[in-house]
Amino acid sequence: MSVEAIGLTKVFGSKTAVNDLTFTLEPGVVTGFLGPNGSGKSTTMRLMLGLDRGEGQTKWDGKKLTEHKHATKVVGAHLDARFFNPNRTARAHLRMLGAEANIPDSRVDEVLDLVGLASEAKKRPKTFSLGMGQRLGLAGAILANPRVLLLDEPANGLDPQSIQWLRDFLRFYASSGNVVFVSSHLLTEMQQMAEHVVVISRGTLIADEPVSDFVNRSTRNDVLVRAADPQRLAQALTAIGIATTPDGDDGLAVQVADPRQVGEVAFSNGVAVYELTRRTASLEEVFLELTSGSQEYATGGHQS
Amino acid sequence: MTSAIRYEWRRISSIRSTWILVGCAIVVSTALAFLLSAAVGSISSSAGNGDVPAFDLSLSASVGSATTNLIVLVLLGTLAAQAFGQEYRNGTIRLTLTEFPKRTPIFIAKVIVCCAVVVVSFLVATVLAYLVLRGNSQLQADSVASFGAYLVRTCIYLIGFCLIVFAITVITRILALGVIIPLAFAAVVETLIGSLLSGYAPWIVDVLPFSSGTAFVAGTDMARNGFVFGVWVAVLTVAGYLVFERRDA
Repeated sequence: MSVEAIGLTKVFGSKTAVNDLTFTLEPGVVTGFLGPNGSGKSTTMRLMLGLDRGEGQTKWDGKKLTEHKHATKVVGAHLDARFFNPNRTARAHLRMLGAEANIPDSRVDEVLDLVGLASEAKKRPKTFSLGMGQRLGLAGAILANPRVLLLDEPANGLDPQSIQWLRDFLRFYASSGNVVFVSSHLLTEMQQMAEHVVVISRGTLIADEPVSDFVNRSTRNDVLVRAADPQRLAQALTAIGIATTPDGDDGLAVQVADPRQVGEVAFSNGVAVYELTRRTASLEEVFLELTSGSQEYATGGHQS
Repeated sequence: MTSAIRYEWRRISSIRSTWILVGCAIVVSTALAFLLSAAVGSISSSAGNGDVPAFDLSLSASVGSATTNLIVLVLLGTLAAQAFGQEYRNGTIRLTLTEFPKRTPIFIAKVIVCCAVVVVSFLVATVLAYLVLRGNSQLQADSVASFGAYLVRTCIYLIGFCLIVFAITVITRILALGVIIPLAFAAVVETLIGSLLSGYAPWIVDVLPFSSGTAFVAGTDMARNGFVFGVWVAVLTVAGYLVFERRDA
């Protein structure tokens, strides 16, 4: 199943929260959903699910969600770690969610066990930590084995072990041919988890591509070379149109994708090379570079 | 539709507050029936040996006093308001509407399940109050047909009351307002309107929802009062439904 979001638009008064957003989610990969605070990620997810009324539409395997017999078999969503009645036990909460597709109680117990809440099944979630709430939300999302998972910041409040478990679980879930769409502010984590990213800023799409392509967009991708005579090497590189900037006492940052090119120029000019390293920007660096100045709630004078 | 009803039943039956409210409504009704019975007996004995007491309470009116008083209406109204109010308060409405992207079935399921629980609770309370009050010979027993008709009218009124509570809760998205606004109208506002405006516009009492509703339960001009109450219920229910259908969850 693929998911097509087409022309999603949501206006709150005079503010356009989501502006003509179009993208496609493919099965088999985890797709990360990135954007600064207030950029419209949660609103986009709600629009996709039909929870918010706006313009545009989302096609789930070519059909609207309302046209599927069992929506729970199509999509499982986890939008907030506090979406439960604090006085309904975790097990009863999942039994309620399982009612739409008549999910057997054995599956409820299985899912509780899977997310590590088996011992808390009969407890009321008013005493749950944020991490436990996330687990309960995830349990609800996967209960009916949906072909699409939509998760809004599912790693918030999880400890490192739980984040690792979540990453492995989502990659496994996607590898079974399912669509997994995850928003997160934990960009280092997202870099390890996602193979594709959809990036928005102020409600507008700025990237919909594989993580590797997204990272390659950065101007910070360069080659660091440390040499015996960096000035001579810089002149030789500039002569053939390659830009360089000094980096430390004996280093140069060279704007080139292939380090072999630098090595060959150094060799042909008789400059001894001590270090030759390709430097790739992290997902976080590229994200900050592309979204700088577009934070909705930036601190005074320190937008990044 | 079946799955929506199953969902709503699991929702309403899996929280303690549902059963606490139902239990309280039944206990309060039964306790009031005991008090009423004792009061009737006390007044009867103070009236003198063998004298006929100076009141003519019917059994159905006594049962009605025990089961449809303000306290019981608060309890059952809260039960109705929870159907939407709790969902909005806890955010679970988004889980519900993700499972049921067509909103109409879940709206209807909530109405059916919640009204069924309210009506069954009321009937249980009525049976218990009837059993308590039946033993008091000072109360005039009604015919089965008359008592049955009274029960049907009261059930219709309760369903209408619940629909108004649903509508106001959906529109305001605040559980407390869903209970307070209808009860304030029923107990205070309509009385005030009647007192203040009846001189200028005597017809106004005839078009107020709860005045008409209670007159319908009492069997007074049932067609007209039932129609007025029904119109109010229909208008508010449609308004609540449209808000539920069109507004962001």
